Amino acid sequence: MLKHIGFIVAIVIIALLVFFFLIPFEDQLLDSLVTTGPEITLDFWRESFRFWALVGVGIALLAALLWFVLGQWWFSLDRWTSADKRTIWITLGVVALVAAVPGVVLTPAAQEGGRLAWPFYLLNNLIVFYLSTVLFSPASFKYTPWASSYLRWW
Amino acid sequence: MPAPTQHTVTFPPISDSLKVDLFFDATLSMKGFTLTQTSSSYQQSVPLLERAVIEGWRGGEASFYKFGDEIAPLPGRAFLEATKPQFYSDSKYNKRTFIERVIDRADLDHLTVIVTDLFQDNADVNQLSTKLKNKFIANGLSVGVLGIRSQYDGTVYDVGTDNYSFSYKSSEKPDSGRPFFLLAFGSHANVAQYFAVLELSGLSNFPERHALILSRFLTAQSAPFATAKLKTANKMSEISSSNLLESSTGQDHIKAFQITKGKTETSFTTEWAYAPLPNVIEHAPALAPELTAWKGENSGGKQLTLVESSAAKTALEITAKLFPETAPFSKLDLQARLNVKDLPASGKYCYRIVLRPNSYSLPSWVSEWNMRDIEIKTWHMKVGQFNGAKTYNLENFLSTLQGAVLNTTPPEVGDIYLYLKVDK
Repeated sequence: MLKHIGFIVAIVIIALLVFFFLIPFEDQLLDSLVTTGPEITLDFWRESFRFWALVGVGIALLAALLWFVLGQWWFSLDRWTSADKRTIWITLGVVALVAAVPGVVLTPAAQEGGRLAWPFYLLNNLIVFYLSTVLFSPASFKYTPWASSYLRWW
Repeated sequence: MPAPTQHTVTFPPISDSLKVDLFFDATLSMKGFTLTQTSSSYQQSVPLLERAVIEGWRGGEASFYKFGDEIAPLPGRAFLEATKPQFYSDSKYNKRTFIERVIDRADLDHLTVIVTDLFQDNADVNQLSTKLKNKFIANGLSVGVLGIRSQYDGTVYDVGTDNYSFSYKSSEKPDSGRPFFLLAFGSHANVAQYFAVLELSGLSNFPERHALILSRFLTAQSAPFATAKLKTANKMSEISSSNLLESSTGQDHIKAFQITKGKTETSFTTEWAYAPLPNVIEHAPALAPELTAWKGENSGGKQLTLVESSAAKTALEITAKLFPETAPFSKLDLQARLNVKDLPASGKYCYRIVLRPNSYSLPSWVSEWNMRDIEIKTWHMKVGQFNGAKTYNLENFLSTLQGAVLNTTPPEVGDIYLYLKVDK
């Protein structure tokens, strides 16, 4: 049980690392690249970026946690061959990526460089979901995420 | 970066309580205002002078004096005698109008009001203007002039350089009335309040009247630059001034921008509502911006030190104008263009932009009410044609005073600060 809690905590830590380190780094980068024009201040635009980045990371975190809960307590494992739940993993991954859409749509338009926020939203969500699931999926499904066989050594 | 320390004096509010000293010109030329068949505007205005003090300030206190060659207090209700001809018959007071003695005696903490026909020769005008400049204008106080044309039937003395005398009787037409003036000296807000309360007290019933307040203030508002909406912003982003200033709380005259790498020319335009004060110096809508520029330099301290930069100054072009084309103005439009390549380096910059009108004029009534020397010579030869509805040297007096205000305490319509963070 302790191991399960440890995995959940690790997943949350990945999201927190993205929130506390990656998003502020992107925010600083955008500060030097974005020109907002007359409608809004750069401070407001950046605040909006941080908010939607947080929303995206939050949804990606929920998707990763859901994958862990399903794999640990919900999916039945009758045979070893039925362990492949990749479709569900991909679906949750798509949910994590689609979580970038509100940010893409609702971040105010800028005069220059505003669209640079879009790949950041996708990158953040992808990092949270992929790293969490590839490193901390339940043992029964640890090889379901793509390339996990190269990264999951425990 | 340090927040601005230089900033304009803010418009002082109306005093809670005020002592008002009212001086009646008791010279012979004033007598004609009291000899009309019906009660003249002058006679009707005398009680209003006290009423306006009582109604205008909760603790308003009025003291009355008469002056001419000398100054004497008018105790109790004695000032009401100014509505009677005998008031002007005292030979101790009725020869010369020594307004300058009243100025000498005036208390800067009080509102001083002089009731006079303002007939001054050239020497008087210069002496009076100098005294007013040194005593009131140089101390940031204002000079208010309220001219009222009143029914008149009497003799006007000391007209022109040859001191002619003319009999004059106004007709039924309001514009034939002889002008008398309330000269008010004190803070702009108190002078304006006194004139406004006089209007409400009954002065608005007099058809021919005009007011002018000569002071450093054209508006009571501090330019709301911080909250002014940008109409355009090209290649620059507005940022909160707290990004560049240690403390920007309550500084509504500051805007800050950020310019990212690779820009050669940036610009923005903005506008804000402009609320002029009533009866102030007339001026053109075009504004002449006065720029001072500083670059933030690291001097090893906690925050940057501002060092004046002529290169930064030439890099910024400001165009400002009031709208509509003619007064009363209701909007201030400002355009800024920054040649980023002319800035000495990347870094933080501070600009102070003082917006002043680029030309001034006297209101048209001043020239219409002004009596010229050439007219006096003509009237001397054809006495019946004398036009007592004009005041000798009025234009000279007011233009000299206006010039003194413009030179000593030049008025402004805005004093704003622009902070820039530039990455070249």
